[in-house]
Amino acid sequence: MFFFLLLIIISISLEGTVTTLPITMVFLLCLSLIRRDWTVFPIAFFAGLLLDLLRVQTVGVSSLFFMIFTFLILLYQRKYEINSYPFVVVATFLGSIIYFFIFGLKHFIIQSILISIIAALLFAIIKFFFTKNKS
Amino acid sequence: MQKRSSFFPAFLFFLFLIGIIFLFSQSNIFGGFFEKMTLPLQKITFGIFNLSEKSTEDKLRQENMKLTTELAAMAEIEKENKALHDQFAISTPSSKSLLPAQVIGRHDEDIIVDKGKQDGIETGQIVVLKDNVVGQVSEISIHRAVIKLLGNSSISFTANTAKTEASGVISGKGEGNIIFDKVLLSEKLEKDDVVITKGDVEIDGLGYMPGLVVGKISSVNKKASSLFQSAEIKSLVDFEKLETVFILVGK
Repeated sequence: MFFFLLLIIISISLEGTVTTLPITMVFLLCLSLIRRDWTVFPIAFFAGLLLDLLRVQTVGVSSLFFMIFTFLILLYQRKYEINSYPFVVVATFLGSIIYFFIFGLKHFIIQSILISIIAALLFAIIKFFFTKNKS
Repeated sequence: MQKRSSFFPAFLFFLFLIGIIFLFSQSNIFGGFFEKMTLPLQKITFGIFNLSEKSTEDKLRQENMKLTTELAAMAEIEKENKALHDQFAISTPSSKSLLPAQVIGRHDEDIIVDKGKQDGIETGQIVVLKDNVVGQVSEISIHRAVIKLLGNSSISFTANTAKTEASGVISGKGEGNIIFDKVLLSEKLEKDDVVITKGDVEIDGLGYMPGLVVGKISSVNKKASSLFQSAEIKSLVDFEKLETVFILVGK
């Protein structure tokens, strides 16, 4: 959990300064896949607030987006196997498309594809470490 | 597997909190404090990812910018002298003052600087670097401001060329492209001619003051069948390497 919080802080700093890729959203997705409980909401909430402050946006917009995104992930765990690569890629792609649309960012298709690849790689790393820890 | 009911109340609670934040977002009760707290984090992160050695090319570019700016200023002085001789009214020098601001973020066609409402920044103020137009303040918070760069598609103001005095409208075309448009076919556009602002200052003192350098003409697009001619402008400022900019404050 501490490791994830650190990663989220780093991703917020990156998003607030040098990149438009929704890295924080990907980390929140991975956190939702691991935790699968309500504890992701406060993290999504504060991560969004911090990001809005750094990017001089209306405070709360990112929080609202992250909250709804994580809520939908948790909601779909009853219907689908969310702990899978197709789900991670599709959820990241759709989430980032909506994210780019809300914040009016450019090159949204290329960036969405790129962030989906990053999400799949990150998911693979996390999965590897979790199976290693369990065994 | 968690049941929906186990996380639904928490979701509603945080949704309610967001609603409250939206309600108080204009009053900036806590925003200012948290903004100030997060400034060093943003500065450090931007500093890490913006570490670039100043190459010979950069130095030459800076020198070129300085010389071109001086040339444009000379052309302006010459014009003013001529006007004085002709007994035309000369406006008093502007009382605008320059406020230095450090770049702490960059997104698409915008940059974020470490100065905000508390430092006297207002939406619409012009941002320069050595008399060269960088952009315009578009969003502000207490300690930060977003500046839309010259190539931003929402940028538009009047300008004229220094040498041939052709008038037209500067507009950003996105992706950093700047176009000098709406120039009458009867007027002359030359490659490498410097384009300067004509002056679009509003009644409240905001806007583009005259004599600021926009850039150099890189190519001219002239068709006999068109009503106007246009030119592509290359800014003398390297927007990718901006570290400190100056905001024109004061009325």
